[in-house]
Amino acid sequence: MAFWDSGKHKKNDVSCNNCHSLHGTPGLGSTIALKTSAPPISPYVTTVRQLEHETCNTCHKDKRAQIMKPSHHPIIEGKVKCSDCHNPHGALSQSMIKTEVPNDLCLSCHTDKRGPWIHEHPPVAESCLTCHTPHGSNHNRLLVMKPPQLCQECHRVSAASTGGHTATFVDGRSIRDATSASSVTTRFQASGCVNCHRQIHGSNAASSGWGNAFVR
Amino acid sequence: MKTKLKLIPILVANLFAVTAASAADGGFVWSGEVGVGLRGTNVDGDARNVGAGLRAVPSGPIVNPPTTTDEAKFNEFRDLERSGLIGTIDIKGRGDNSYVDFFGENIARDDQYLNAQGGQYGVFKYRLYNDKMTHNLSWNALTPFAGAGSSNLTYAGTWDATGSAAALIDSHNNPATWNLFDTSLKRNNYGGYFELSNNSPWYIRFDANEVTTKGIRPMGSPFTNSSGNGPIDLPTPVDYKTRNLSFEGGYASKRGLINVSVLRSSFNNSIDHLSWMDPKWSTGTSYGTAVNLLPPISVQEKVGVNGTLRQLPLSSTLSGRVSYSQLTNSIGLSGLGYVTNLNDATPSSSTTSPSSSQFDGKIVTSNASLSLTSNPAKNLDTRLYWNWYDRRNDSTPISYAAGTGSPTVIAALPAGQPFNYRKGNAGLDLGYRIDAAHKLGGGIERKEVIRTVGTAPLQEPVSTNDNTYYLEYKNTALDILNGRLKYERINRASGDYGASAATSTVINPGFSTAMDTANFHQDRFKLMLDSNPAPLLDLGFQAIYKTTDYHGRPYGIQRDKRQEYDLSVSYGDPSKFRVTAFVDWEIVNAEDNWYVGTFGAATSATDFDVRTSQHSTNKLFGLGADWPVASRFTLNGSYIYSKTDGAVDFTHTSTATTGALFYQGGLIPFNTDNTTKHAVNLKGKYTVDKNWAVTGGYAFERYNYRDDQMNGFNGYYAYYAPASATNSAILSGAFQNPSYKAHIFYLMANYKFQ
Repeated sequence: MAFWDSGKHKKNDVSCNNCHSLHGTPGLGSTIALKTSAPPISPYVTTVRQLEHETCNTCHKDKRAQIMKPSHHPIIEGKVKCSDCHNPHGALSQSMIKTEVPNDLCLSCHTDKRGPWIHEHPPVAESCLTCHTPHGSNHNRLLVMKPPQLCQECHRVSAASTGGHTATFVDGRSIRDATSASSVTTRFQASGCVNCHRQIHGSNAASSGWGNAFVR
Repeated sequence: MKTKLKLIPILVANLFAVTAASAADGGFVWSGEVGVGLRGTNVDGDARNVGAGLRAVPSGPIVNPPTTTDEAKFNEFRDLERSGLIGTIDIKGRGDNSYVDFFGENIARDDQYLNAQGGQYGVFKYRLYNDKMTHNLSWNALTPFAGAGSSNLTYAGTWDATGSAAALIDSHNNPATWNLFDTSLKRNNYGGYFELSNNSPWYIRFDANEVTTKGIRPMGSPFTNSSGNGPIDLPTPVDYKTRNLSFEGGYASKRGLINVSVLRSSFNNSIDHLSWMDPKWSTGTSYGTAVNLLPPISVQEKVGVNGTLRQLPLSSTLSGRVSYSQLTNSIGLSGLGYVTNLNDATPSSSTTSPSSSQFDGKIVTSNASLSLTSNPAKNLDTRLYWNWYDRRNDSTPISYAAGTGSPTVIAALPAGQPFNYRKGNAGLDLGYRIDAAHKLGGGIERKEVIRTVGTAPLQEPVSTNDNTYYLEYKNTALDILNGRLKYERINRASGDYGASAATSTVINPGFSTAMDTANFHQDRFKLMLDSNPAPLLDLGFQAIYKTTDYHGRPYGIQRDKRQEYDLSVSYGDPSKFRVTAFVDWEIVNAEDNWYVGTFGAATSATDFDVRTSQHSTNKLFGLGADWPVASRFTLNGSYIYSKTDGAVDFTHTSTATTGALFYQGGLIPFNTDNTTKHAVNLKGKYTVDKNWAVTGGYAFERYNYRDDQMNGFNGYYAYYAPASATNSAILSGAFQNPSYKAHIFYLMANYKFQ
């Protein structure tokens, strides 16, 4: 409770009994009883433990919709809790996250993405949230937008002046079907640009391996 | 498995140890519940390529890869693959002075969870745990390689790399003969903590855990070193281990708190590169060796000090934090992937020499934060805050000489550009309670981000300034309705590009800006309502409307509009019947402007603007009920329907309607991320007596996925980039169609004791 006074919950008049059932019985595997809206609405999960998000979603209704999107952290499955990332009892950081900035939080689990790299991708170094949304997304890999559109928000790949990727503006003509005489461009399919630029979080490959273009 | 075998005795020993320690603890009472049962699942994954024959090359024969199914999505974070025994154990011991808890579920499964914790009230507490997680990404993907999961992918035979129809006679170009592999990760986290305070304001705490992640993940890569040669999907081995050790010690009282924390986190990857035979770089008699580097090892060390001082004048509380961390690694650059072309039949023939034989990576971050909350006047509360964060890259700059030998395709590359940034924000929140039922709030914040790189033009603005203002009003005057309305405005101004960037045709801020730094005005409205219009009836509603207008740039993102509506209804008496329902609806629209052709040229058939319109929706409906049918029998269940849609549409200003850039006269819209899911979850519980209960359940799930971008993402075919079919693409089909239909049945007997 060190930073309770600085947190948003205190500011918004949230009190202990808004979340805690002071005289309730803790659920299986729990030492504290949390309040939830009942009856719960959930797909089948393999845990019988009390799920924290059911308490948080009582107020944060938009997060309820997000964590049930096709791409999500395993929150509804009980493997990630809201309090793994946020401190509901107050924090100095924005959104009451447990670390100073979002990247420090994301990289505490996704340690394989933290580098250091010879070739850095600046938006990655600055904020994971430029490309990813943490609670849930319609798009694979919790992306805020689907490639290639996401990449094109910064990289104008169709410009002749950018070299290399000339005239590869991707639209629906790239869709492959059994009757089309055209083959598909894999700059459109699936992960789009990331089909080749897979080391998008950073690379230590030699320049000859196009590490600076995040392909190796 | 070894971990599990080691950990279970430790966790069980914990129970006995605490039992012994609690022998003198008067009134120690055990309670708990043990459940054992059976679970059966039946899942049918949809086929990947139903009705979608693959054309080997334009006008070439259609080849159908083997029809495989993918049931990974059903098992994404749940180990439901294996039917059989399931069980839970929950034991709690409570004494006057001490307590102990043990909980376990999904034992010996990939989502096993074991937890033991206990302590003596006010003196010490501890916890030991093991939390396993499975992350099934996609099953039954295809690869022409042997050795999926290892660090070396090989072919057994020869490869015709021409991409011609004749190549299909080669078995390695025929997906029907390829190997299957699953992309799946198993994560195993075990650790614990011990905290000692000994009934004093002082405390110390030690935390330790180790996380291992093993499996295969998909990784794409271009043939040779150019995406113009087409891509290939590679099954990539994962064998990570992260160890975290931390210490925290401090002093806590009602007046305040201060603590010091130290963290050491090491990341190890036992497979640092993936080698694979690259047919596009063959000599005709042998394949070139391609190398893709895998995540590097690293060590993070961090120290922080937190403090809070309460009961200051004006009922103030001052809180602060400072922290410093460094992330380091050291990598010798003599290995294959660090100096060579990465794709070469004779790798030594195309070496680009790095400027140093070793890369010493070092990222340093520093943070300072302050927050002062006060009540300077009756009914007025304030919060003044300031945060500062600095991220500096002190890694060894590595430059490369031009490639030598043959083929020499690589030009010299100047030193890697270390990226640094500094972020500071400061703000003031005000809240004024007009009376017991009305509260007004408002605030301002200014945030500045300053970025620097080495010698290259910065591809983002040097600085970005955000000014945020908000107002909110909360009303609890009505017995049956509470409400809160908030409006927030953010103005972002970016500028100060590097001089060379401003004139570069590649990076021209006058025409385009990275989306995360583009200038914008953003308006956000949020309304929250809670109502109890009748006994046993609760209603909740939330609406968020956010528009972001980007300005000052003719190209790049122009507009983003988001709407979210969430409604909840709950009615019922817990002793009789309760029902809850919710509806969530989200709509997102974004517009971007781009150009095709020569930058800055007059509009023509080949030089023109394109407007992209992106649209996505998410609809969610849930219904749940519980019903105590009889004194010993309860039923509960829920149904969830969710649907996502997405589409991308185009308009353009080209004077032409035919040609290489157009197909049937225009740019063709496409649909993405169209999914539908139905999930039914029913459970009945019969209480036999005060000790025994029987629980049975049935769940049904149907998930449908359709995405134009995944059509044909499977097999071998000519690569179109652009209008050229001389190259090849080898695609695994991973994620192509995760649709499934599944039934789950389970029956459990639970014994409760106290």
